[in-house]
Amino acid sequence: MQMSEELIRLSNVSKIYNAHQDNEVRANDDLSFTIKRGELTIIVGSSGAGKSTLLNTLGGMDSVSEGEVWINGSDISGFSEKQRTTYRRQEVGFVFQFYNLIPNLTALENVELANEIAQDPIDAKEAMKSVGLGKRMNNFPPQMSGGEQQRVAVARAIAKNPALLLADEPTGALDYHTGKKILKIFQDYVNDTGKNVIIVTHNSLIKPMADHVIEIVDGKIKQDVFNDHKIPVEDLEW
Amino acid sequence: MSKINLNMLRELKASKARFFSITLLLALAVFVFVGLKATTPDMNQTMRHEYAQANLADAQLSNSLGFSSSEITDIQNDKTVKSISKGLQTTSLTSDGKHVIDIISIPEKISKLVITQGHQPKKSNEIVLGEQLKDSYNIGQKINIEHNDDLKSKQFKIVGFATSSAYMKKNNLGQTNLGDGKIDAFAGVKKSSFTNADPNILQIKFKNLSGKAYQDKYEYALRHKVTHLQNKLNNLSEQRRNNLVSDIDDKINQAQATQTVLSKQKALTSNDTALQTLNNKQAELADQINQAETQKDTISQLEYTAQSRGQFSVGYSDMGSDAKRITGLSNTFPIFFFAVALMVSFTVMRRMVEEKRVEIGTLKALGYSNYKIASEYYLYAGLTSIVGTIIGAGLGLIILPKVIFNSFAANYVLNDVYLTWHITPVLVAFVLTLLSTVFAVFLAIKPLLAQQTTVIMLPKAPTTGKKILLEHLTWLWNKLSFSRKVTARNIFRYKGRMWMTILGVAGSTAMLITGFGMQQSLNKMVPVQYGEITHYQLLGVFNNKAKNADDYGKK
Repeated sequence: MQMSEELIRLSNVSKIYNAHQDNEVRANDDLSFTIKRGELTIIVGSSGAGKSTLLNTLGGMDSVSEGEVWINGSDISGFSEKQRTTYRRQEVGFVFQFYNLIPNLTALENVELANEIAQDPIDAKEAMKSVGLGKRMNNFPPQMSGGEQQRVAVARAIAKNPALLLADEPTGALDYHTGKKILKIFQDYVNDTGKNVIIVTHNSLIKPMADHVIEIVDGKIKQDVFNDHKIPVEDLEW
Repeated sequence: MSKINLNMLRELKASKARFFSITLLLALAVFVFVGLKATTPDMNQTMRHEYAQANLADAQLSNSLGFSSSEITDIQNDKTVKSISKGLQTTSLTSDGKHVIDIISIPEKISKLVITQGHQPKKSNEIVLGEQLKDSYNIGQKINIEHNDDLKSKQFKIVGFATSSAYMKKNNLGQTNLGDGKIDAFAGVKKSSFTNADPNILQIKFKNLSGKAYQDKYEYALRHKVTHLQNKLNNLSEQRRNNLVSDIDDKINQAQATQTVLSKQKALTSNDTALQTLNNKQAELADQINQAETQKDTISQLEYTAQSRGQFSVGYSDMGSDAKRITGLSNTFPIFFFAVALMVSFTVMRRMVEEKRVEIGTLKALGYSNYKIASEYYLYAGLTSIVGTIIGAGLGLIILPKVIFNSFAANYVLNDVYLTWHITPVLVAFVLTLLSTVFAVFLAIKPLLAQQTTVIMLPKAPTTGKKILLEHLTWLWNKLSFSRKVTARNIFRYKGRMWMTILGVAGSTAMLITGFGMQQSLNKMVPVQYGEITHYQLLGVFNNKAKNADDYGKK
């Protein structure tokens, strides 16, 4: 693994609900790790482990209760709501489990929706082509299959040209083959652009495709390992 | 167009029913409010136009004998009087007994007639009839009236029809002891058609009268000036009565002196024929003295009258109070309409924001600011308000004043209603509509956007179910079917919906009942008054000053 600079550093980050009460819940408990530029990172854990919470923190969707979150040179843990919105807009591309496309807009328009507010976007049509949907640009989400919709969502995230691409259970609603295709897009994206992708999943069988694997159990980090020899996802079977 | 705007545009197109139902409901509320608010001033303005066109007098002075030129000069010189127009007036019954007509000399400058058909009378045997008679007579026909000492002729040729601001009603223009007791119309003839030269009607315009008809400023000032003139007239009439009475007294004295001479003569004669002649002469003189005494009685009743517009113009007061009545209505009726409209659009807008929860969350996740997201909904809401207000105000300003005016004016002879702009009620109505649209969005979207993005993207947690009071009556509860139980629970679970329904139905029912109730109450008035309460057809009044008053009741 080459020596590359840090993109993300978390120091003792906790997300606590109902602090100091009987029903206190620590969704994230004292997390610390580092992610370097150009990594394909997978955060794995079973349901309720706290991985989505972590992803939301990284994506500036949620605030933290304790700790520091350094991303691209800024500590976003102290950000106000407005600052987080700006951070989200400029630095983050998000892919959700249920795609979350706007039904009133065509696939292309959905991508343009994101690319209009970005500072240095990729052309929306190019983004669509890069996920293989060059021919489906004028269809509306309800007219598309799950896999196609997820690809649109990926194109939307890519189009912003963000420093960080986050995916929360991106294949959760898809079948095996379609899911693999989506994962391949993420993999190719990292290899082609050298930008970071962080995927959250409960499927530990795809760990080999990542550069960096973080395992979360009960809100804490159980494992934080690097793959010296990662395997392309098309060669993985599960 | 930015995609976020495009999204809202597509939403508009996709849910046209929602957009139009809110818009039209708001339009209805605005229609009623603006329409009613515009009606009173429009009705007043319409009347003011009538009065301006006719140059209606501020006051009318009248006396049965006519005003002498020195009296007129005296009045003209009064410090309150700006101008006077002299006229003659008499009341006549048509020969066929069908109509009683107030015949007046054509006014020159004040209280003018407005010719609607034909032309003014050019000869003294020509007449112009009031519009009240336009269905009974035609131009070119001759009209015959019963003998009237005040007029030179008994037959006139009809050359036209006219309206007068002093005789605005279609019937019942005043009381009279001719015919059936009601004046049916007015008519205009040349001054030369009258026998008498002394004018018995003076039309007055006052100085320093500011304000418009029906404004308190004008009406109060008018009342003062008329009272002042009435005092002056009381002085003049007293002088007149005294003069007339002293003239008669002179004659009586002369007659009595002659009586004395004749009596003396009688005493000196013994000739029968001569005595007879003398007795006859004395009887004649006695008769004349009696007549003179009766004349004095009549003169003692001579009054000069000063009347303000409300008193001499038939219809002036009524139209004014009709217009005022609508003001009261405009403050109450629209409340119901607005209440229903506001409730419905409020609910619809809130529901729209809630429906779009996940989409709003997604936009937030993409990095759109709260402001940008919310402004789309404010735009949608604002649009319903603007369109609704334009439609409602446009129709309201035109239709309602016209309809209401026409229903009041059905019994009058008037021109069309005069419509004007009324910006204030339109703005007030617009602000009220904003309350139910833009404000509703605000109340729904502000707390939503205040939440964490991840929470917004999740569907709203359903409210926990609760047992309702009825369930404690287990004997009753157990008898209900499952559907009924669900229905009962739902009624109390969605309290907002329940209250909206109840209040909406209540408000609409109230308005319906009010409308029908008013109609039925008014329709009942005439049969009850004249069928059950008033049982007489004729009213007779004993005049204890009549010559034969003492004979009344004797056989």
